[in-house]
Amino acid sequence: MADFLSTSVSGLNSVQRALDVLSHNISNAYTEGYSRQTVTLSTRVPQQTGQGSIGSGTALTDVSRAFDQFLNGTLQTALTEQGRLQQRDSVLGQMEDILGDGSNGLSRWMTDFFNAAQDVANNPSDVAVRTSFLGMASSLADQVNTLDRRFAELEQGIDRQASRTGSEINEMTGELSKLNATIVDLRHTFPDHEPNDLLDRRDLLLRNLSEKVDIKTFNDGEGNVNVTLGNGEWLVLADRQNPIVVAPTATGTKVLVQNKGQSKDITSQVTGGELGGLLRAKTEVLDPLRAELGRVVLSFADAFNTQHALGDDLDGNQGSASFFTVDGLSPSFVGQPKVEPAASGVTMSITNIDELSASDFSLKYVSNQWNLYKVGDDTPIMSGVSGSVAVPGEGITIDLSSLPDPPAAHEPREIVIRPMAGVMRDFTMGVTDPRAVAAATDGAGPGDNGNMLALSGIGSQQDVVHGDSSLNNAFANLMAGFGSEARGTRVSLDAQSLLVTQTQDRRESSVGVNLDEEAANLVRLQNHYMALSKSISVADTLFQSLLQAAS
Amino acid sequence: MDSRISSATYFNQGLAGMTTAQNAIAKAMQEISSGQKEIRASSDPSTTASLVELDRSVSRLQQYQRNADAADARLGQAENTLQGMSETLSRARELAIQFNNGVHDDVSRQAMRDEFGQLRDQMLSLANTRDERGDYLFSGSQVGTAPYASAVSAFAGDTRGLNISVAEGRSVRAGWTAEGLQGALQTLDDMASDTSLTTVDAARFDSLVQAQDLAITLRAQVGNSMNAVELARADNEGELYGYTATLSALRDTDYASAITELNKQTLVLQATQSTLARVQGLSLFNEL
Repeated sequence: MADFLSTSVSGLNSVQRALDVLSHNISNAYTEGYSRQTVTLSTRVPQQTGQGSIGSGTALTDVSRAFDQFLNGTLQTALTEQGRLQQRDSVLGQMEDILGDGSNGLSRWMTDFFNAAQDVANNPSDVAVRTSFLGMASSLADQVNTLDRRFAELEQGIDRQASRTGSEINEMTGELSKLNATIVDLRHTFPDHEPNDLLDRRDLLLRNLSEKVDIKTFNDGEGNVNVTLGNGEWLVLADRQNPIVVAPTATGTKVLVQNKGQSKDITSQVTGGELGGLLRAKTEVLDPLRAELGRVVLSFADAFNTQHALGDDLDGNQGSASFFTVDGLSPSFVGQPKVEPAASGVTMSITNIDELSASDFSLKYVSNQWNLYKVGDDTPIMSGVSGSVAVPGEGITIDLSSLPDPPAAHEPREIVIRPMAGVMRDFTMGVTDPRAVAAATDGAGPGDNGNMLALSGIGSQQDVVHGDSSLNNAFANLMAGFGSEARGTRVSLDAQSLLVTQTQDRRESSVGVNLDEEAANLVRLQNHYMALSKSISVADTLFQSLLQAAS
Repeated sequence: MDSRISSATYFNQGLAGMTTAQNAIAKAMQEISSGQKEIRASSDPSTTASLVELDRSVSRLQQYQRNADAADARLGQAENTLQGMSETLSRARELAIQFNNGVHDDVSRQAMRDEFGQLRDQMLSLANTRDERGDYLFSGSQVGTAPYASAVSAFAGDTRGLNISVAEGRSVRAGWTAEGLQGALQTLDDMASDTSLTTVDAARFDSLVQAQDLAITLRAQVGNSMNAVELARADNEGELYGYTATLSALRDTDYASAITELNKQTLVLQATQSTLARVQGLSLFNEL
């Protein structure tokens, strides 16, 4: 009789535990990352008697979580790509806001400027018309400066966000290393039972981390999940975390991983996730577009200055060759554009504006010599450079005579040269007196407009930019090129988001909680519980009747 | 066997559906209220590039039309002036013939001298015509200097002059030189002031003829320019019409499709909302 009772009680206990698990499932139906848990029930060790093996009830032997290794991996990869595309799309969207649809962008200001030049051509001796032309030129310069400021702000915004993303990555890897320690500890204590909720928590963290940056994960068999970035730089190794630092430097925004007090530059390895998306959008789209705009502005100003100097102003003086200036880079804009770090002593001069590309260059000290690279390309365009060298086909000459070879430990081993940096920021007017606008052909009187006609024709000239394109074509090409890039990113993002949703749905249907299913199980367990209660009640009745018989 | 669907999935899908529909509704509303499509480089790169070109073309054509207005104003003034010169010189030739023919007493000769004087002043004034800003119309590029300080001064201008662009690659002359008028002015002055002269000699008479030829030639040039401006204006208008129509097709809201889209998306949103509410209401727990 005692066995009857204890058998029933064992069942009752098991069902109670199963109800606990079921209510845990119901509570967490909407908890992010939660995986449905199920109980494993089995029979207890039977009693061997002369009459046979008599079962002794039920035991709950394990609580396991639904788990799908394959879908977890797929989702992680999909999230990394989605994170990258989201950030790229966001940066491109902000650039799009700045560039406008063409009707309110820089090309419109240039058209207005050339129209104002036509007004001067129609009335070359009218000082009021000249004044309003200079006003338009000044607005154009302001617009160029404003455009540059907005791009610079966007770039700073990207840096801040990249830096925040770095901090978030560190928080996550820190938590992962602690979770690793806890999980390994629990596994030692209860080798047969998985700490389901902690595993869920760790899987969720890994998914969130995958969104931020392209990681690889490895189970070490002890219960740790180790995380690497790029070419195998450890971010999490068992219970240890290697934090990263994302910071703007003179030679661009860098990602450094810190390992035992050593910093290692892994910028080129970070290509995916939100961090990769941000950094790559900047180096692959924003920087080249800014440089290209700078090149167009520089070509425009150079063409205008050159023509302006050929004419005569209202007082018969030769026109100034510095109608527009760029931070002292006039009249011919040959000078020293940005070299970072400035203290390196490297100088650069523009020798042929038509040959200038929108590229940035870097000098790196590799294998005991200075090599010149185009930024974004790992193959040097010149090796072992020294002294003053003309870069073939690029319209620039660099002078590294004052650069130490070899550089001392504290001296830079990478120097970045940005020919177009600062062009738009420092673009300004060199002529402010309306009488000084050189509208007349050389030697003609104040009523002549020969030079002004030539100046206003620069807007239609087919060889102003790079010797083969009009200003307007250059803008149209720039907008079309940027648009294709932005559209490609948007299309990929839409497709990737769909993939993520589908994978999430598949994962959810495999491991998520369905409340109807839980309700059905609840009914089943309730009936089971009632049956077991009845057994106990019967056992009690039998026992009572036995007692009565005995009394 | 059907796969199980987690309860969270229902919710997430409903939410995503509503967000998509709400975005589409906002976009359609924006297009309807502003009258313009939102053209983004990312949604249509080639259209964006076309807009850059079209906007510039429209803006330039509008500028050419303003240039044509400026040219017209100057050409109109020049035409009137040159007609005045031609008439004045015509009268001077008549007067010269009258002066040479027949017998005149001192009184009538003096009257004719007085008229030569008036014609001289008229010619001088016409040659020194200024535009509305005070610039001399006939001194070439030296617009601040009178072509003739007096009837006996040398021409003080030059032979350059203003050209106004009225269409892509087309410009018209809108500044002139009165260099060839000096002989005629001198003749008129001589006849007015030199009482010893009893005839207009052949050389003096020729100077009047040449000056009149010059005025007529210049007037013909001005007439040609005016025709060229009108042609350019009509061409520009035609081009403008074409570009504006293209721009409108690219940029203006197509109300039929925008309103259809708005209705469709509103329906989608309503359907998603009621589906979500209904599915969320469905639960076995309600039956327990």
